[in-house]
This record gives sequence, C-alpha cells and structure tokens, in this order.
Amino acid sequence: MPLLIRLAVRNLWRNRRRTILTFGAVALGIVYLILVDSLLRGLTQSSIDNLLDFESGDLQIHAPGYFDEREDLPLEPALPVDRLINEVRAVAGVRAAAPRLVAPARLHAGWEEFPVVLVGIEPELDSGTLRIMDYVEGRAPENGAAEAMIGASLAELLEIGTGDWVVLTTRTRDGAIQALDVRVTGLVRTPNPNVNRNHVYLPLNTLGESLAVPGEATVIVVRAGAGESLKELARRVGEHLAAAGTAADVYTWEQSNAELVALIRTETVSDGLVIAIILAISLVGIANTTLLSALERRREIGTMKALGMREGEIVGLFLLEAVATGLLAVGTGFAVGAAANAYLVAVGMDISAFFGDLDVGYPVTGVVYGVWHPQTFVLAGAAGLVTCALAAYLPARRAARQDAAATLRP
Amino acid sequence: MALVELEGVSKTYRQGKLEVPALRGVDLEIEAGEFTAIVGPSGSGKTTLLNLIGCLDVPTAGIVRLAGRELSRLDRNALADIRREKIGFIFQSFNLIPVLTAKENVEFALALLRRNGAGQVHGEQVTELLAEVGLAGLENRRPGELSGGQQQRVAIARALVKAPAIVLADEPTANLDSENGRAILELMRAMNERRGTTFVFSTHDPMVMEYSRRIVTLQDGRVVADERREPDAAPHPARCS
Amino acid sequence: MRRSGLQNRQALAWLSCLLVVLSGQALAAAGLTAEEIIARVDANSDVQSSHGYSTMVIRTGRRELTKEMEIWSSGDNALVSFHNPADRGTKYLKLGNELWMYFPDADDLVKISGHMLRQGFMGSDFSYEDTLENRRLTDLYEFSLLGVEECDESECYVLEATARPGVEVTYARRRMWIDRELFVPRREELYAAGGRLLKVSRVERIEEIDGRFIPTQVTMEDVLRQGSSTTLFVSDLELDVEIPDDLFSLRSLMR
Repeated sequence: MPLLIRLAVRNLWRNRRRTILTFGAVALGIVYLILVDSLLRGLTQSSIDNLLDFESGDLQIHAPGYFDEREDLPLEPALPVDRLINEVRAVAGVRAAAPRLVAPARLHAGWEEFPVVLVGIEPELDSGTLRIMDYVEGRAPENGAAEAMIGASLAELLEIGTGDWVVLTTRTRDGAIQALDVRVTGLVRTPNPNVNRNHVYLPLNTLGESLAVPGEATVIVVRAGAGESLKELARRVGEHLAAAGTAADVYTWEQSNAELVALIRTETVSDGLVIAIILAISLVGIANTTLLSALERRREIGTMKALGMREGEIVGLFLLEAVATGLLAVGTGFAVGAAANAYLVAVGMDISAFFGDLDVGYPVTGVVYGVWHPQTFVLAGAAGLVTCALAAYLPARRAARQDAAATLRP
Repeated sequence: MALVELEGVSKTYRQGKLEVPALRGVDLEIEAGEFTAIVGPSGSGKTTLLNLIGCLDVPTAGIVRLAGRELSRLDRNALADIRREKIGFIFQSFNLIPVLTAKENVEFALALLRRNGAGQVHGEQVTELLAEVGLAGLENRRPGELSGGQQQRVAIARALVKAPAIVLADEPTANLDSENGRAILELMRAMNERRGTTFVFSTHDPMVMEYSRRIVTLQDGRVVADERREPDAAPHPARCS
Repeated sequence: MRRSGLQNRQALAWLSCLLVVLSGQALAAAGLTAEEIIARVDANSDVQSSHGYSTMVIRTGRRELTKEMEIWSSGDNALVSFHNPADRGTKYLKLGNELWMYFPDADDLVKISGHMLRQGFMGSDFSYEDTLENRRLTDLYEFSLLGVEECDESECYVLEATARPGVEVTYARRRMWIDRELFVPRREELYAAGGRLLKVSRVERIEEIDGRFIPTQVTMEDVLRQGSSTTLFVSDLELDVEIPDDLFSLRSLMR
C-alpha cells in the first residue's frame, strides 16, 4: 500500500470516534436517500398503476369538445358506443377497450348527501380493460337493472352495505334532475382511494337511459399492448376512427391527468431536496472533521511542509482521508440501503402511518412498495464522494497554508 | 561559492501593532561540510536564522542564497521543492509523524523525493540507515513507543536519508538528557565526518558547542562573534551498531 | 360566509318565484282549461315591482338557522340584502339571467355560474337556477288538469306540468294545487325525470295586499333529505313601488 494511503488510513483510525461519526452521517444520508427515493418512485409507480388500472386506462377517447370540459363531467358531447367500440378494438396495438359514461351525482343517505361520480360500465368489457371487477365484494350490477356497486370507503362512511337501497340524484342530458333508486350489489375496494371514496358504478345501459343518453359513452378507455408507445397508439387510433368516419379525440393518460403528472414532477423536485439535505449534512460533517483534524495536526502539517511537501500535496492528503471516509460510507450506505430496500421492495411500507386517511393527492392507499433504481445508487455514491471531497477542501487548504515556521515553534 | 550566503539579512515580525526585529542585518557564509553552531540567548534570532536558511521563512530585507540560488525570488512551491531535495530538519521536539513507524517516517521523506524522480535511496537502505543511527530492530515501532533519544535518531535518519546539502537542527538536544544529547551530537558529527553533510545547529547547550568547529554568536539579531576552532576530541565515538 | 350567501340567493329565488306565481286576483272560475288556469295565475302574479322583508328558517336535521333579509324586485331583477348578524352585509343580485353575490368580509364579488347554480343552500331545497326561472311556466311545461281536490280547506285545481320536448328544465314534472278562488298555488310537488318525488312546497299563509293575494308563509321540504325543510316568512310587502333602476347594479351590490 502506498505510504500516503497508509498515512491517510492511520489518521482516520487515530480519530476513530470522529471518523465513525462522519462516516455514519454520510452513510446514513446515503441509506436515507436510497430509501426515500425508492419509496417515492414506488409511490409514483403505484399512483400511475392505480390511475391506469382503475380510472383512466392508457388512452381516453372522447367526443370532440369533451376534453376541455372534462372537469365538469358533462354528458355532452358523447360517443356512440356501438359504432365506436369495435372500431377501437380493431386497431393494432389496442389490447382492450371499454365504454364508460361518467356523470357527477349526489348520493343521499338520510339527511346527508355526498358528491359522487357515477360511472356507467359494461361489466364484460370493463373487466378486460380496467381492474375494478377484480376488487368487488359482492357482485357487479346487471345490465338494465337498478343496481350499483359503490366505493368501499364511501359505503363505510355512509354505513351502507350490500343489499341496501340508495338514492342518487344527477342531471339528465337536458338538465332535469334525475333521481335513481338503486340497490347496492357490491362494494369496490381497490388500491385506488379515489375510486373507493367517490365512485358509484351502474350498468351503462341503465345509466344511459336514466340520463337520456342511451347508447352513449363520455369516454372509451383503451389499454395498450405491451411495449406500445402511447402517443403513437393514440395517433393510430385517432386516424383509424377518422377513416371510419367518426369524429373523436384520443388522449394519453398523461394528457388527461396533468395534475398527477405535475405532482410527480414536484416529487422529483422534492427528491432533489432530499439529496441537497443529505449533501448538506455530509458537507457539515466532513468539513467539521477536517477542520478539527487540521487543527490537531498543525505541527504535523508544519513538519510535512518542512520535509518539502507542497501545500497542494497536503491538501491532497486531507482529501484522500475525506474520500476514504466517503468510500467507506458509500460502501456501507450501499450495503445497508440495499438490504433495507430489498425489504421495502418485498414487504413495502404502510403509508397510512404517515398520512392516515389524508388525501395527499396520490391515488394510492395502504402499502407502498419500493423499487430498484440503480441510478439512485450511482447518484447517491457520487454525491457522497463529491461532498466529502468538497467539504474537506477548504479546511485542508487553510491548514496547508499555515506558516510552517510558526507551527513548528516549540 | 559558499553553500549558504546571507547578505544584510533582516527579519521583522509583526505582533499586532508592534514590530519585533528578530534579525538586524546579518551577513554570514557557511561552506559545504561545516559543522556550525549558532549560539546566543533566547530571542537572539537563532531560530529565525535557521528558518531563513531552511526556506521556511523569507527575510524582510537582504539576500539569502542556498547553493547559489536566491531564495527570496522563489514561490512557495519552489521553496518546498528546495526543502524536499536539499534540506534536512531536526527539531527540538523531534516532530515525527505519530501514526507512522520509525521506518515509515524515514521512508516518508524518501517517498516525497521519489515522486519527483529525484530519489536515489532504496527501501533496504532505509533499514541500513536506521541501523547506522543505532535503531536496528526498532524500525517498526511508532514514535510513541520510542524514547526521546530514539525519536531524535529517527529524525536524524529522516533528515539524512535524502542526502541533503544541509541539515538544520534547532536545539536538537534541548529535550534530551545529557547522555542522550551527547550520543545524538556524536552521531551527527559522525555523519558529518563520514558523509560530508553540512550541519548547522542552534543551541545554548554548552555541550553542543564542544562538538562544533565553528560557533556563530547572535545577540539582539546581530552576529557578535564568529569563531572557528578545532572541536574538542570527542570522548566517545558515535555509537553505531 | 360564502355558503350562507348561497343560501340567501336561494331564498331570494324562492321569494321571487313566489311573488310571480302567487299574486293573483280572486276570481271564481269554472270550466277552465289547464292553460286558462295557469294564464290566470300568471296574470295575477304580474307584479311590476316590490319591496319587503323576509325571514327564512332552515331546518337541517336537528339544526335550525334563521336568516333575515330585505328584498327589492323589479321585472327580472332582484336585490336581497341580509340583516341577520352572521350574514350582515351579504347581498345577492339577480340581473336578468345572471346571479351575483357580494361578501363584505372578503370584499368579494362572485358570479354564480355552472355547477354552482345547481347547489342548494344550507340544506334548503332552493337552488340558484330556480331563481333564474324568468320564463313563464307555460313556455316550459305542458299543463293538464287532473281534477279538483280539497287542499288546506280550500278547493284546488290539480294541474300536472310536463316539460315541453327540447326545453331544458330542472324538474321534469310538477304537480300544482291552485286555489280555485284565489288562483294562488297552495301546494306544489316537484318530480325527477324518472318520476321520483323530490320536493314539496306548501303555502301556509296567504295575505291580501293591495287587492292581491300573496302567499306570505311557505315551507319547502326536500324529500330526499330527511328532516330538512325551509320556511319563508314575508312581511311588510309593498307592491308596485318606485325602485330606482340603479339599485340593480354591481355597484350598488358593493355599496
């Protein structure tokens, strides 16, 4: 081992306690970064999965003009289901498609009422497209029947169970109040809290007739085959429908859910913030260590200068010590981070412990799973090392510049 | 040309608003191979003089030349290079690097030299040199495991290992008892005689003067006496095992 | 504050509806068609302008809220100013087809539009869009006479109103009990498109003012919300009074 490295290692060993503190701070930072990043990525992934699997699908087809009004959930303009659904399913790259009729409503229970979203579905088509049907406690409503499934959270809030009757009020296409007496056939308990809290599912034809829009859908949700580019598929579906003589606009889930996309982007920023905090901790820790070390070793530094070491070489020695600490911390951080992340990936973490029932904007509930993201390791490692080097540099340079004659005076 | 030439060298330290003159117009020449003691009371400027010769400090006025090069024209890195290649230091408080063994301390000086490709001494020669200064078998001890005298021997080996043009020793015996001090002096004189290395000491130890061939006396920053003499015969030869 | 403002609007809407529908000449009529009966009601409610005070009691479950207001109306315009402590200074302005609210605490002027029009305030069953109903009922509905019934110790025509095709109405069907002598509605039932009963209103007091018969106490009940009803009391009502035109302006709202 070269003498300088031996010297650096022994100096670190000499101040074991301080070294361990510094090393621990950096290692902890790296572990934290790996885990926070993993959970945030997991949260993002679950959010997207939950959104796509339970609400929006990959693509949304609307009648022209609907998209800009979509926040209000209007019944018009709507799409003719029979003419469109088979055309859509015929497009190469479309794995599944299902029509939905979505309308705002109020659910009445006693003297209370709650705003809900009515979703008219064709259970057969819907179960191949979205995953609501996999999460029904009870059974799906039957076509043409005055039956509904409702979100489990909503049901629990209103103390409604399977077999109960509820009244829903909404508006027909012409703006007249419509009241629907429906029997609850099932509760929908999905991993998507928006669905559980807000959605009431009725058969498409029951809802369509009640709202004076029989045979129509406000949206056709489309699932893409594996590996399809959504933009490309959206373009193809749009062209196919245009060629078939149907006016319809096709959107990707990212276009339809700008809010979630923005939230995810914000999260990337907060990810950066976490990195910055970790770097700051490391920076202060290492700078402090180097400063103390340099103070203690004033005479030693003077001796080294007398022996002919250049100032730059002395700085280099301190950097070597800092980087060695950093390497140790990175190694440990990786090992512990990887082990902890393996747990998060396999077992996950119950985020309700943090947020409770609070709606934090993510369509996620319960357990969030970590993900493996090698770039985070690379980033965390590089950040740790660079921080160590940066933090050591200034105190080291100050120490190296000291007047050797003065420090050597007995 | 003398190895060391000082012409009208003054050095003034500034302590707050106070200017403290340490040297006031010193002219001095030291030839290669000399074994010279700088003596004088505390505060007479001995250490300052050594620091100027040793490129650890620059004069406020006057010229310092080492082997013909004028030091005040050089930047910090060039001064460091001269210290590395030409100058060995021996300190009153030994100043070994505590985390390195005796052998590593000597190798350290050598390693610095090698990085410039200027080193000519190999690893096993370090062991030999340590044996020559009387530390055979103690090579792997750390400074904390050595006596003061032993530490100073390591320092001597460290100074000599790079075959410097001059060794500067600031009060080398001040922290040693008389027996150890004498042994160190004998060792240095033996090295002076055997290798022709130039030695300059600062001291107010009369024993050091006994061993010196030239005694330069400083007082209030001025050279007040410069006496060349045959040293007293050493009672014992340097102990070299 | 905003909520209570919304409630106030509903109250106004209700009042203006009432004024339109209820004022009428006592006239004994026999053998009238549904259209003739409604035309009579419409004609009797032809009030140019009015000024009065009203108290609205809103009962929601066990809670009861009382609002005091002063009301000016003229043609299709109306201004309501609230006087009860909680809502003091809150004003509601109906300008033709537009609804505006002014909240003094926030110094905030809000136009009620879109989904907000559908909201009922404070559990009362008046919605904002109810107050915007400027068109005559006969333009919106086809009426048929179902018969004559005893109603609150009076003889009443029972009329059924069905939305005219292609016309946008809030209630697809209504059933009205019109006092045979006063041509004032005594009771009304409002139905959903599917036929479900949504709301019931009852006139509990009718007063003669300047020769017209005006309902001065009306209770509206939301059938879908148990225990929820709103009663409106009208007092000191003056009809066909002089009202400066600039009263119905956004500027006066913020005054």
